[in-house]
Amino acid sequence: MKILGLSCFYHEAAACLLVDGKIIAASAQERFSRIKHDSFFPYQAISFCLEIGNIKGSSLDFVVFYEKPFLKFERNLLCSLKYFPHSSSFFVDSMKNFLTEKLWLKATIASKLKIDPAKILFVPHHLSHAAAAYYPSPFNQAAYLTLDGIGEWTTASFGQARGLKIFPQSEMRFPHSLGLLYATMTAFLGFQVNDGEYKVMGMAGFGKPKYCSKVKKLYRQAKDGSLKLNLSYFAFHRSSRQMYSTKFLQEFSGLNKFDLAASLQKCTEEIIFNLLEKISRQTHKQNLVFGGGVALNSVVNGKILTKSPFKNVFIFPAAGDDGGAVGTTLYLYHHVLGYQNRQPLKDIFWGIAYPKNEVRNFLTKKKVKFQKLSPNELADSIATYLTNGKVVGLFEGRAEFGPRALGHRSILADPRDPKMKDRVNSKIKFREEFRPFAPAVLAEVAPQYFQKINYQLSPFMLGTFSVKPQMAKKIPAVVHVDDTARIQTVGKNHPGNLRKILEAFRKKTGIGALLNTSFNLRGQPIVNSPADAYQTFISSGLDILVIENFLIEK
Amino acid sequence: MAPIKPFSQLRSLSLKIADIEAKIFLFLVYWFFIPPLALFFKKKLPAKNSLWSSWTIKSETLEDLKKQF
Repeated sequence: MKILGLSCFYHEAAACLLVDGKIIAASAQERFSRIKHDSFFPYQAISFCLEIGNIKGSSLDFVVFYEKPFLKFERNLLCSLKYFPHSSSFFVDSMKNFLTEKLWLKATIASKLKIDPAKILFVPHHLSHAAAAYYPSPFNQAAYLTLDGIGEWTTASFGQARGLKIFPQSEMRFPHSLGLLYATMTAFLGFQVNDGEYKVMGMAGFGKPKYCSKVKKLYRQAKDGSLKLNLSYFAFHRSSRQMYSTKFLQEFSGLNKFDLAASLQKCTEEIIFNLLEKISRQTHKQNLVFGGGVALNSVVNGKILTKSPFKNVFIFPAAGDDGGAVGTTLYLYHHVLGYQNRQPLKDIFWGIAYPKNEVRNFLTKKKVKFQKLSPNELADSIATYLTNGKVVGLFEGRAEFGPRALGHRSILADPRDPKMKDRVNSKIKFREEFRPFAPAVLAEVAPQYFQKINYQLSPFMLGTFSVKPQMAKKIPAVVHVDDTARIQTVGKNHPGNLRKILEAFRKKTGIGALLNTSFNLRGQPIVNSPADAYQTFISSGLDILVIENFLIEK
Repeated sequence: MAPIKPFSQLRSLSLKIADIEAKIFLFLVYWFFIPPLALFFKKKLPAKNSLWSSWTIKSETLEDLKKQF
């Protein structure tokens, strides 16, 4: 059974190939097109998946899209009518998009992949998120919560999952959306919607939640957890170009942006933990699976086990719309077709890899001087460079799926140097000075450094946890201003060299942690090919580049 | 799948013109045809305290998933 999952035409276009229940390839389109959050039809990601599977489009059993396009069309049309005469730009922009591409999606897929249109299926957006959260989890039953900006009409949903089945219970509908509340404040703070939300989360650590009462004017949460936005503060429901109204502007102009971010984060946490209370009461489950873009809020995630009634939690590492391409295949395979062989998630290295001879040819062609090292030499050599204060770009094996770099497309640096954070921010990644960096840490030594770690989340850098006070001084480059860190624990089964590098660094310094950030520059997608990696290397302040077992010094 | 070929400049210009034409057409539709329809959709937001509603999209069978709505 070969199923191709697709997400596109909003943000984070992606493709995923599932063969007999196993995800054998998945990638976001942005990695190939080099356009951050590329939303167009994922031609290159599809080609990559089919190449890995060694199949043609016509031999796929099904192609599944991650939402119902006509329902989305209905929402856009009805909102244009409902908010007349303030919705002219919204109507023009959305109808143009729908009439030129989104409504013909089935025909586009059928013609591009040369597949029978009867094999093209559509799974509701929030069920795609729920499936991505549940089927790769280790649980046989769980409550689920999905929180997103917007799907078709749904903005939040919850229900239960048992065995192979997902049972959705309730939903909240557009325009009342926690994701859009967060996105609106993101836009107000000067960042791009669907991109800058994690920057707001980072800013929150620097501020004090002084303006919670002001933020609470934007919404009302009922006792049952449901959220109602005060639409007089918003414009996204009637405009495709403006997220907030003049009333919003009047309310928040002139306030300290860091305090505002902290207030929004605090209110978001309150809303989510109230929701989780309600879901726990209704479902009587101890396990939670959490999906949708809001599930990438690592500060919330790190507190779920301590501040909600749930005893276990699982979050799919690509919880946003790219992960919808995965969820939609799993939903079809398990829920609808009834196949039993669920595969708990081990890693997410589902992207493209380059053979060593191809890397060598590339470097030779570019006339780059390189050293070829054995795997043991490589780890030791990288650790030596790191202890000497060098910053290393590491490129190996298959690329990660999702927003986090977990050691295959990573930039590594010494976490002991207090100036390293500013150096990597300003000279290497060219990004805002307040942005924190995350540590990769040997799983067995992580409890020495961090408190209350949730090991279901930490291998994928999904949760933020407190740093022990006595340890914060030892790894200052990866400790956020509020003494927390979004950690990645690296266990013995981690594929690739990251584990060996951490061990070698620990032997030399006594510290089993490294600064690990994604291998990209500000505003660019994570590198995908040796050419991307080399381009990033020469156009940034990186000192060392390692592609597979080839080491290049600047 | 065939690789995407870059558009010629002329093609690019004609696409821009088509885009402007489409926007003008939709703008006219909005102001001339939408007003009577909008009267039917000018409902106030629900006044009830809870905004939860039951999940309604059927997604159990292949036939359900074939539907785009």
